This record gives sequence, structure tokens and C-alpha cells, in this order.
Amino acid sequence: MTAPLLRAEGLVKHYPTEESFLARLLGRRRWVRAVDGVDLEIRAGETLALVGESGCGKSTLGRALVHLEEPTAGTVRHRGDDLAALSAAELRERRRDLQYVFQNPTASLDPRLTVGDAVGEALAVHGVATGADRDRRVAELLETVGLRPSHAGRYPRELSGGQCQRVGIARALAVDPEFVVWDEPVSALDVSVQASILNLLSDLKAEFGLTSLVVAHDLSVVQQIADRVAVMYLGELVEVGTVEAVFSPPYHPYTWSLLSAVPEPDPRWERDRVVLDGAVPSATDPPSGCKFHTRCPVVQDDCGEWDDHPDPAAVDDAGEHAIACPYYNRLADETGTEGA
Amino acid sequence: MALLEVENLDVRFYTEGGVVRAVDGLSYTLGCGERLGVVGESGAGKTVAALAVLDLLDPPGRIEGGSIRFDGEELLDATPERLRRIRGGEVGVVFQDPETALNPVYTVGEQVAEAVRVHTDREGDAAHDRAVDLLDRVGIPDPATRASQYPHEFSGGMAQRVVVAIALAGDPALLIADEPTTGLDVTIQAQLLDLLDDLAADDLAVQLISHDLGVVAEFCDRVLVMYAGQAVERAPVDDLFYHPKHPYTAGLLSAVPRIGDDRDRLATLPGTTPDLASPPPGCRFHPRCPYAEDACTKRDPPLAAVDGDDAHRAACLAYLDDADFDGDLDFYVEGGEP
Repeated sequence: MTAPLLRAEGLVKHYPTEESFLARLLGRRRWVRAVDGVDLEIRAGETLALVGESGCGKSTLGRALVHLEEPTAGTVRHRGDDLAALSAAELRERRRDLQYVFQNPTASLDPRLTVGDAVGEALAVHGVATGADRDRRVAELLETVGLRPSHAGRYPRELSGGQCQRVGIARALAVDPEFVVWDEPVSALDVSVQASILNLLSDLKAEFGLTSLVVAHDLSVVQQIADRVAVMYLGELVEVGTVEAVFSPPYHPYTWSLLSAVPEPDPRWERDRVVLDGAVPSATDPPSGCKFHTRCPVVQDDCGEWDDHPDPAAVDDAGEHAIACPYYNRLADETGTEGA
Repeated sequence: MALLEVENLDVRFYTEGGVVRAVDGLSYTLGCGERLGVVGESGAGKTVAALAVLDLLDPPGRIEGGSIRFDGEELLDATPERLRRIRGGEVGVVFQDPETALNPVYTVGEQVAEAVRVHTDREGDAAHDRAVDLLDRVGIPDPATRASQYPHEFSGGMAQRVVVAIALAGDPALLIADEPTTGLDVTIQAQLLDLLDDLAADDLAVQLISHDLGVVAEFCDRVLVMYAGQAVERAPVDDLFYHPKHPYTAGLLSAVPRIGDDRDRLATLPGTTPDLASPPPGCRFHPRCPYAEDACTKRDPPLAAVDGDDAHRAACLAYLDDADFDGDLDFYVEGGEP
């Protein structure tokens, strides 16, 4: 197997709840455990989706993978090099390869920059193209993402949400990256616009061999564009595998709950829905043992007592599908979903 | 008699860019305990139509014509005082984004109690007790304690339950819910849909506005599809999803990604919704319609019964006998019987 493009090992990112000196002095500072020990590989050319509820640490993990966040512990290696160990100049050079497209297309563009300047800025910062070259490259990029070169003179307020999203994509593509994190690329868009952006993402993968991480909460979107899926809960990965493996039994109980909650656009759809109680517990004080045990539909007596979260158990021969639940087979027995 | 009857509703916004006909000749009815879904892209007029029913339109928006009858009473002739009684009383409202709907400086219990005082004759402790009951009704655990907390102490899903509790304060017959689950996680969305389901089972009529066809398929009895300020299709939910008759509905349905779907590419609707200050002539959907013919640019089709079925109506020349439309709408739904 070829070496992964990016590899996170034991990645941890904690944020303090209060930054002030007084809070520190009085010991009032607590830590939000946004990412709490994640091992993940991203292979060249694949689209990996990261799913989970709000507040589970998806975006933080995405940012840490391209070193927009300094990890609290653990490493992210890009082509074998630890990103945290690189000098500022080296890191800047790496950023050409590692891009991030932010959630909320309208808010992530500067309202005072024209589309041409917004895309051109990326070219200038990385010294890719200047002058007439730059303009030509901007026009090319706009066409790649399905806009017209004439859009270069427009301001973000003159564009629709879908068009703004395309500009954000063009900006990320400007430096010809090998890896892009898409943070909720379609969550703010109408279905018709969403479909065209999803098609664009597939085209980019086919055309440029782009490797990507898609952060999303909509599982039907994930199924459409991803090769592999990582399911995250309270800072930890609970299931990793190909889309086919993760979206069919055996499931981690959390994955199963998420899947069963997706409303199908089919009035005759019948299924056993599991409705999870409550919301995700606070990441400052996560439950002991398996973090999901407080909401798990098939919780067992000892789930709250593990000292360490068990390593995801590989459930297929190739080691491609991993489920961090020792009782995943019980889920099949209790719910009637077919087990392995 | 239907609970809510909207007929030929016209809403216009007088802007510098011209007169925007945000809702144009919209008619629909909603019976007691019925669940109507209103779907369409952003800017289709879904929310404006709901605001018009509640007389919540702000200038430059104005109702220019039509009729809105609630329980037989014409709302367009009602006094402001009477409308204040109806709004939040007999007609409850839930908007998207609970965080902005709640006032951050009052306790949650006080905000529910306020609605109780305005819409019932309960005062003081009786109003507070009723507020706690309502919080309990919408599934908030430990309602007595939670009532004394502030909105920032509530998660998005719990805050939306509080908004539903406020909407229930006047014991409404109709609940208008505008994108009530948008922005919430699927797990929390499932909890809220369960709650709405439970309320509707108690004979509460619900007008659910959503862009999520999955939510509509699951929750609603009937669906109204809006495009560019007009109703383009109206049908029982099963017919709409299995036998869509309007090309726009078919386009929307095919653009939705589904789990278990093995298509490589999603179908897309070309183009964007028209500028309603100067909508295209004829059928407003014709510039984006794959079946458009010359006749479509000339005549704006009314919402007409399809194949004699009065419950299933579509606004397309293909269903008008006297129209000059020769083509065939050859879309179908996989898995639906022909």
C-alpha cells in the first residue's frame, strides 16, 4: 500500500474555556476537548468524509490537519514530515499543497474585494502568477468552477450563495493544491444548487486527482461524493471505512442512529428509527468510558467504565473498516439490523 | 369548511429595483389537523406567503389582493387588535433559528408565561404554572428548573422546543412552522419532528415550510410546491413524490442525493430563479424547463387538475386541453408504479 498523503497520529486539540490570567491563577480554566486522540490516514486521490453532530470537533480536526490549528498533542505528517516541526517559511510553502475552503461561502469572502482580486490574492501571496498572467489564470479558474471570466469584476454581494461557494473553491484551487478540506460545502445551499456544487467536486477529483476531506453533517451528501467516511463523536472517531462499509451493517451504534435519523425523500419509506435522547454532552466534561454510552441505544453495563477508549476494532479482513465499539454485534441482535 | 383558506393572494414589495411580485395569485386550503408542506428554492415566496397570513409583512411588502380566511373569518378585514389575538393565539408560529427568536435577557419560563398571559386569562402564578406545563409538553426535561434558565443555557434543539412551547401558549388550531429544523443536526431534527408529529396527532393543523424534501415526505399529508411566487404543483404527499406532474417538481426531486443512491452525478436544474421584479413572460419556469416550447413563453398556465384529479393540480400547459403544447413530459420516478 502506498504511503498516505496525510497521517494524523494521536491528534489532540484542547481549547481553554477562559484565557484570562485570573482564571488561570484561580484554576478556573477548563478545557474543551475538541479533538481527543484521533488517528487518521488520508490517501492520495481519495475523498474522505468526516461526519458527526455539531460540536463533535469535525471542523477543528479539519483545521488541525492543514495546520491552521497547532495541535495540543500528537502529530500531523504530510508526506512523512511533521507539520508542527516545519519552519514558518517551509510551512508557507506547504500551504500551497494544503488548502481549506471555509463554511458559509458569503461570509468567507471579503466584501470589498472583487471576485478577481479574491482569487488573484491567493496567486499573489504564493507568488504563482502576476500581472497579465494572473488575470489569465483567474479567468481559467473561474471557468473551471463553472463561472464566467466576466464574474471577475463583480463583488460578493452581487453573487448568489452558490456562486460565492464557487469563488471560494476557485480561490483554493488557485495554488494548484494536492489536498483540500471542504468545510460543509453545501449546507447553506438549495438542493438544486447543492447538486451542481457536488457535481463540481466530483469533476475536480476526476480532472485534477484532488485529494479531499469533506466535513459534513448530511449523510446523503457524503454518500454522493466520498470514497471513505470517518464518523466522529465528541472528539473521537467511532467508525472508519469505505462508504459502502460504513453505510451498511455492521454499524457502530452511533453511525446507525445518525443514518436512521436522515429523513428520506420518500413518503412510503419505512424503517426502525432510533431517536437519540438529548444532545451531544459537553466537550469540557465528556462522559467516562465510551463517550457515547449516555445516549447509546444498546448500552451495556460496563460501557461507562472503560479506562481507555478501545482501539477501533477492525471488522473486515483487510482492516479497512473499523468500529470503536466492542458490542457492535449486539446492535444487530437487538435491533434486527443484519450483523456481520 | 377548511380551517385556513387562502385565495388569490398577491404580495408585492415596492423596491428601488421595481415592484417585486413575491407571491402571485397563491391559493391553498388547510383543514383541521392537516399537515401541509410548502417547498421550493430560496426566494420562491414560501416565507412571504406565511408572513402574509400572520400580517407580519414589513414595508415595503404589502398584500395587494386576495383573501385569507381563518376559520371562516376574513383576516384581511380584521382589526389590528383582532389580528394580535389570532397571531400567536389561534395561529402559532415557529421560525427558523431559535436563538434569534428568543430574548436573551429574559428567562425561558418568563417568555412562555408572557405568551400565556397575552393569549389566555391566566395571570401571575397561574401563567407561570401553565408555562412549566407547556415546557413539559414539548419534552423539556425538568421543566420547573429549566423555566428559570436563560436561552443561552439551552442547546439549539432545546431552544426550538421552547419556541414551540410559546407557539402553543394560546392553544392554537394552526401552527405555521418556517424551516423549524433547518440548521439542526439530523438527530435533533428527528426529535423535533417526533414532537410536531405528536402535536399534529392532537388535531393541530401544521403548515410546514421546508426546503428539505425528506422532512416533507416524512411529515406532511399534502404538499404545495412554489416557484417564483406561484404555486406550481399541489398534491397528496404520496402522489407528489411518486407521480410528480410539474417539470420543476421532477427537477427538484432528481437533484436530491439519497442514501443508497448509485448515481455518479446528480441531476441539476440549469439556471437560477428569476428576478421577480421582471419575471419571464408566460410560464415563469420556462427558461429553466427542459420541456419548454414556444407556447410556454406566451401563456402563464393556471394550477389545473391533472387527469381530472382535483386533489392533484399542476401549473403546466401540458395539462391544459386548449393549450398549444405538443410535447410529452417523459419523466417518471423509479420504483413508482406507472
